[in-house]
Amino acid sequence: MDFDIVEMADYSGEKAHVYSVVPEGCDKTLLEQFVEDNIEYGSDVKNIQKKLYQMGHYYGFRRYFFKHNEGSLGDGMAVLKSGQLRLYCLYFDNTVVFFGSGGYKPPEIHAYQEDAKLNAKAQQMRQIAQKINEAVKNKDIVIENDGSLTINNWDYD
Amino acid sequence: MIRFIKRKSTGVMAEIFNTITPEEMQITGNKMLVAANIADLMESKGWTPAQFAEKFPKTEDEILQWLEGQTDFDIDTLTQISLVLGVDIQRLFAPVKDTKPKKNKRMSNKKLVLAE
Repeated sequence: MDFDIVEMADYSGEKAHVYSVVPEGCDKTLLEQFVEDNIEYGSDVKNIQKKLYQMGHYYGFRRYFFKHNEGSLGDGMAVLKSGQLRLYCLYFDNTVVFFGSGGYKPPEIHAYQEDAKLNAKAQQMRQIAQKINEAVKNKDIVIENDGSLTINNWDYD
Repeated sequence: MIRFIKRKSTGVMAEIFNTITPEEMQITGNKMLVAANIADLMESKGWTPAQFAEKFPKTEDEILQWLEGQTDFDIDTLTQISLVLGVDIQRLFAPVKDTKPKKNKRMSNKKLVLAE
């Protein structure tokens, strides 16, 4: 899966940078698609947007605002919750998070793997996380101290 | 080559964002403020969420839920929390200190590919 990185300018602020990705051939970020796909959970969608804004401008991505260890050990996959709504992301530190997509987690399930739709979104984020992690490791993406990104020549495999 | 784009949100996401009132935004901000203060005070005591939970007693999951920043705390609970943390209740509403980001060494000065 190839993609571009987008910084969401209306959510990023003095404290943190809100990033998402646009899959090749799409014009919307996964974060925008997440909002559109889950519009029926209006108050939770709105709550997540408010939290993103507050973190970007006032609080940063404090570790405890997220639930961690959602993927393989050490891959940085985390989730931002509101009610039963789950937004998957790649957590780097309190200034940098890449947001993917997610969905509604039925209360009767314990793990996202038990729900096909949610599992697909989580797996999609895992793939993106893997590529971004590799790019950071290879210095193709450099995360600066303030959370801004420097992207060098990065060819997709 | 990957592109890096900085832009505002579009479509439904932008529409919803524009419906958020200052009051709604402030309520969310205050919930996150209290959660951030509780987390900072807990960590300053060297407690993990599990150790903090034992003081009440609560479950670790209940504490983690508090720290996520969406709990609508009542006065009884805030009083209980402040007593466990050994602070006045108003300390839970104090401006939070910046957390330190990790240090990354800049490895290259190559130009960023920026598209608007």
